[in-house]
Amino acid sequence: MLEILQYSFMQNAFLAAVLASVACGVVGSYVVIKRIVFISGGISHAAFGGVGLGYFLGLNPILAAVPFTVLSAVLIGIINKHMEVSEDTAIGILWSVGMALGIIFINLTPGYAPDLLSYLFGSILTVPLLDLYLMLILDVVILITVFLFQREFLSLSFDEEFSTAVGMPAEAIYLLLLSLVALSVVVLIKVVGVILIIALLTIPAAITRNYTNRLGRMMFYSVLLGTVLTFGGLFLSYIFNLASGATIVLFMALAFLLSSLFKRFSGPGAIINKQPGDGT
Amino acid sequence: MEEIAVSIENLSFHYQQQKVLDQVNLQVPHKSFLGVIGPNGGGKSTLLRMILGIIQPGEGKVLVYGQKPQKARKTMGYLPQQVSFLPDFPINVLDTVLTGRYHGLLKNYTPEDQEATFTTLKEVGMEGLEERQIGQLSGGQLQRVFLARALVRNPKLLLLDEPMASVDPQMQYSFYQLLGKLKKRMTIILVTHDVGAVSDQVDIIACLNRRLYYHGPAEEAAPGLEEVYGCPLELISHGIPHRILREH
Repeated sequence: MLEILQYSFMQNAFLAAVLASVACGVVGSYVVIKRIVFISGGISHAAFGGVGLGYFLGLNPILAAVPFTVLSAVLIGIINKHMEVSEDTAIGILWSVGMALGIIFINLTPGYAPDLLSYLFGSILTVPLLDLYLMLILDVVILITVFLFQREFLSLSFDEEFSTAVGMPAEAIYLLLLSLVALSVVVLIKVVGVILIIALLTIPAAITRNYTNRLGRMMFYSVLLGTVLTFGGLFLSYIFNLASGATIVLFMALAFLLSSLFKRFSGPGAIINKQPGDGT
Repeated sequence: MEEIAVSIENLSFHYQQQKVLDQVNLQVPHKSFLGVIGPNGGGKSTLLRMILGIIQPGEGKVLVYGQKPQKARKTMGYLPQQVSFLPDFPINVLDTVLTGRYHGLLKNYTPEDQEATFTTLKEVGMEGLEERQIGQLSGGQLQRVFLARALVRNPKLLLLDEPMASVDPQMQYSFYQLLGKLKKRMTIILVTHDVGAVSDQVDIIACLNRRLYYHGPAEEAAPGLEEVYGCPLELISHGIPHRILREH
């Protein structure tokens, strides 16, 4: 079985899986505890506009997606806070506008886009070395930012109003957090594609939050779990000759299901006890 | 001259074309305990959030110890009306209270902050629960933790938004005892829609329903309350059941 590791494209794929797991474990933990799953879904779909822009300008689509996705994230955040539209409406609109822009950009590009589908559904087996370096750099940026602003991110996720009252620039911190989501999205595009990203951002963190009440540990476990599950999905996709991105997502969903069942039927010792009706 | 903790002049505020506060004038002396009573939607929380500098007044002026609210944040401690978080949010009691000692971007918490956190948790009767995950506390315990988070800043002004909402009556009494002790060293403003939740620890009452209807000693507040709620009320004080403060 291990002979698959001898192929250089497989080695790249596993490297990509590790790099993706770092981003989705760390930022995904915030996505889950701050309950910004839907807004993150909007950001990941908006990223497709950046991919299209990359095609149009003749740039590396992943590289072009970095500024585009960060700007979309900040825009969604600002609209969310200042316009008199409900949050889900604003997200829903930007979600589809990003996708539509991507399609139009690709329409306007001469020739045709041979690997378009790989940005929609992922193509972990064809990640070029340049993209791997880019993912590594983005991971480093994410880790440094989280290290520097961990106090703000935790306080903001827990109680935004109180954070403002103690003098935290809460809105700027919120936009910074959304920008980190945007960077993670870019890291994940090649692995599972814009449509499936949200699964990687949420599932590992959603599983591990049941097993620890420290955010740092939750992130660490999520990175490990994300790596294991992505490897597992990749392995299965190789054995059964299935699309890698979709197999990874389904494998993760299976793990989530098993974890939920385990939580339900296991004793209180293994899992943090939830008392219904408590946290007001 | 006696020191003024909060000074509000001609304060008005609109939210989406609707007038929430209308020409409010209020002076709160240092080390007094003010209870702001009024129906839901009467602008009480808006008033608190303006004192805190979370929202800007439309017209009028708010000063906290002679300064603009944003400049006076170090002097204020705040207990919000409702903190909605996931029951398994990965934070414990200690770290929750520590967020009250926030110093600014890129500044870590110091050993003194840790020290202050332990002392404050002891003061609110939550010592020994520092490591407890926040979702595993009862409503009353949670409220004490949030009070500690407000107090850990050593505020001169304590702002409480509906602090008794999730606390059972027995806890309310001991909560008020604690506030009675605290008012010796700080100004307290408590906001509630529940007339029954106001205790005899409160010195001054303000009745707020968009406009300020009454502002004065607690014993004479009943007519103001009647006007605000539009029906006769009996203001009873806590601890001494059914002591009617004013005969009708």
